[in-house]
Amino acid sequence: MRADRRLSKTSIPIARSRSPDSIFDYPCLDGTLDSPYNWRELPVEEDVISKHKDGHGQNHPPAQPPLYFINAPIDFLLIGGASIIAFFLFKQFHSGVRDQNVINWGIYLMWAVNWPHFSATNYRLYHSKANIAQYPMTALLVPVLLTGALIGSLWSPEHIAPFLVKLFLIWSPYHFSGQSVGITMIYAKRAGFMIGKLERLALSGFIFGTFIAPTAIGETGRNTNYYFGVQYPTLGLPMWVGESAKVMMYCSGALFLLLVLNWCMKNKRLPPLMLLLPAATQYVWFVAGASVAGFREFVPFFHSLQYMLIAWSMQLKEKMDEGQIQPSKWYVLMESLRWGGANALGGAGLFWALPRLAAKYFSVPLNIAEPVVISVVQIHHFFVDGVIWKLRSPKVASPLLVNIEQMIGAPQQRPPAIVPGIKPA
Amino acid sequence: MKALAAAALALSFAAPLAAQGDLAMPGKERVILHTNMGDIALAFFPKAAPKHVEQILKLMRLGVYNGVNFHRVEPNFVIQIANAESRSVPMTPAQAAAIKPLKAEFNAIKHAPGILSMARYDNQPDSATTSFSILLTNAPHLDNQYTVFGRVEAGWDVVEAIRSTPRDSSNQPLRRVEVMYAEVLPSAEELAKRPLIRAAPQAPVQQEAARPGPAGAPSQAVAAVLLVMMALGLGVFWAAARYPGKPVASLGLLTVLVGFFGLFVHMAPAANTQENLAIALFIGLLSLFKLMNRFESPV
Repeated sequence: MRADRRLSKTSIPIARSRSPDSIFDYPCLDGTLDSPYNWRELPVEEDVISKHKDGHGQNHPPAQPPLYFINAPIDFLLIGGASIIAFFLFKQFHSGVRDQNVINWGIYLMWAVNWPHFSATNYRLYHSKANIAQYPMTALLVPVLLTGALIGSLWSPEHIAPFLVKLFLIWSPYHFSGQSVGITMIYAKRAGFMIGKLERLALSGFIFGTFIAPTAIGETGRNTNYYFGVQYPTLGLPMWVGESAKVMMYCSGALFLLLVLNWCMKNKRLPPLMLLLPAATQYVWFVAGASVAGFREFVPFFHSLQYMLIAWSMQLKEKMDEGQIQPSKWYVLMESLRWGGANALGGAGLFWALPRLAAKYFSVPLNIAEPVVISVVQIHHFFVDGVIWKLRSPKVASPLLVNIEQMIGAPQQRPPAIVPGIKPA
Repeated sequence: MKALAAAALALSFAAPLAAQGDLAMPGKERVILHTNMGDIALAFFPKAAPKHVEQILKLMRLGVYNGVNFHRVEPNFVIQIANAESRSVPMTPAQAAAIKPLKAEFNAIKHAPGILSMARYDNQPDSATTSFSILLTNAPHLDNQYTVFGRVEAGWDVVEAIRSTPRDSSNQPLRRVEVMYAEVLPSAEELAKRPLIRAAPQAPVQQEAARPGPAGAPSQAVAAVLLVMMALGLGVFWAAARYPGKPVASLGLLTVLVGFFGLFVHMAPAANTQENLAIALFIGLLSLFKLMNRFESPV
């Protein structure tokens, strides 16, 4: 790898199948699969395998990775259970209207979780020169391009800003969908559930359908909408586009369920709940919850919560592997506080300070500068999120297959019985 | 024609205002209401209604009026700005906290064309918060019943355009007329330096109104150039399989992205009236997102 020329060019001796059906395919959080190119060409130190700490004292990753990042209840809540519960609570006990209370809570959670999640992606890419060197165009060229878009939009808030904002508003749920697919793949890998081409197609069709159908319906007719102070037009799609997308979504969902059922019958066991949770959550966010205005306020928060669980555990794993730090609760706590604090500050910088600086410098009202800056920062995030899951460090093994117990030094426990039939390693 | 209208406006002010002396003397600040139908400049009467003027200026500086619409158009009476709670973008906590009911400050200034009069609930003189009207005619029945706090300084053509906007049976405009943002200026001199956006000729409601974006039909030459740019980018991306490394392919993708965005800015305003173009742009967007997944990935 360009990052460290001292390393030898030996490939990791772990078998790497070229078949996309293989359990060794490395799923990325943006829903793509890592290409064999990176994996096979990765040069490593000859003795990195012997230094790998996997909690078993063995020199290779365990055959069956742990199912959860933390444990069943917490993973369930953070990956989507909390948002499904919140949806039902809203339906039952709240008018669903976007009143001031809802808006206030949305703002608090934005500061606490949503903004930091953007900062966390930037931190992951920019915190080391080696990472920047792996993806220099994303790290260096894309920000320059987006700065140009920012300047153009603030210089021409009536002609360019509406379409930059519109591009972001349509790209954003696409990005949510990619993350949902990626998380499903991670849990499938952890649970030993093989996702082949057909399963992936059906899953993607359903998850992306939950974004395409409502978006297409929202773009129907000739209206203008507002994002803060930026007015943007709808595309004026005919109704049949949204309706067709809905049909595609339900058909893909039905196909995926059939394939899961087929797997259950063949293997004579229930599917892991976590496998279905991201898709169900996505449906609640964009379809079932779309008519509940108050609930919609929190969808970005729930999306960020999913992300932060995985990003946090990866961060810990990488730091401990790279620094060869012994697992301990104290280290996990201090590093989590440091990382969380840094990201909270970074998030505030990106979403509070930057719009105000832009408004002052370009002499535009804040309700114009804010949506433009938000759009640019988030589009940059979409690019960064596409590459950071493919970052490779020769000293870190399987960062997406970690469990918290490996990092606090607790003895490995059997996977909980929520997934019957999986035997402990 | 505009000069005549301005002269008429000035005359309609002169007589009643002359009788009101100091009260109708405008203060230092001016405000430009940037609406989606043009700009309206306002002046205020701090001597006639000091608390109202102070509060309105404070709210405008906070951005409370950004996104508020004209919810009532009665051509022989008033055009009225709605309460800020109904604006298109919800207020921040700070904005909401700044809104307070105002004690009535009825004064001797007559309700005449161009006057700003604070709205309130019937039988509750101290219930005014954010909604106010711009008078279009004399309304003596409102004198000493509603607080006059300012006047239209410039942009009467925009007021006329709003007055003429098609509305429904409850006097609500059929097409949303909105204050995009309210800009507070420190002095009349500052206002004089600023060119105001005049009222655009209105299209019938059934057809498309002016949309954000380049006015008129898209230039075919510009669209062709952008399409060629995208095709070039795609070609480079696919051809990059022959070359080692990711930069060439990724540069191709960036060319596609820039070209598509340019095309989007140029064509999207026309898409409202051309379904096929709208569908093409929508599919183009989805394809673009999918393509960007390959950015800095091996081809």
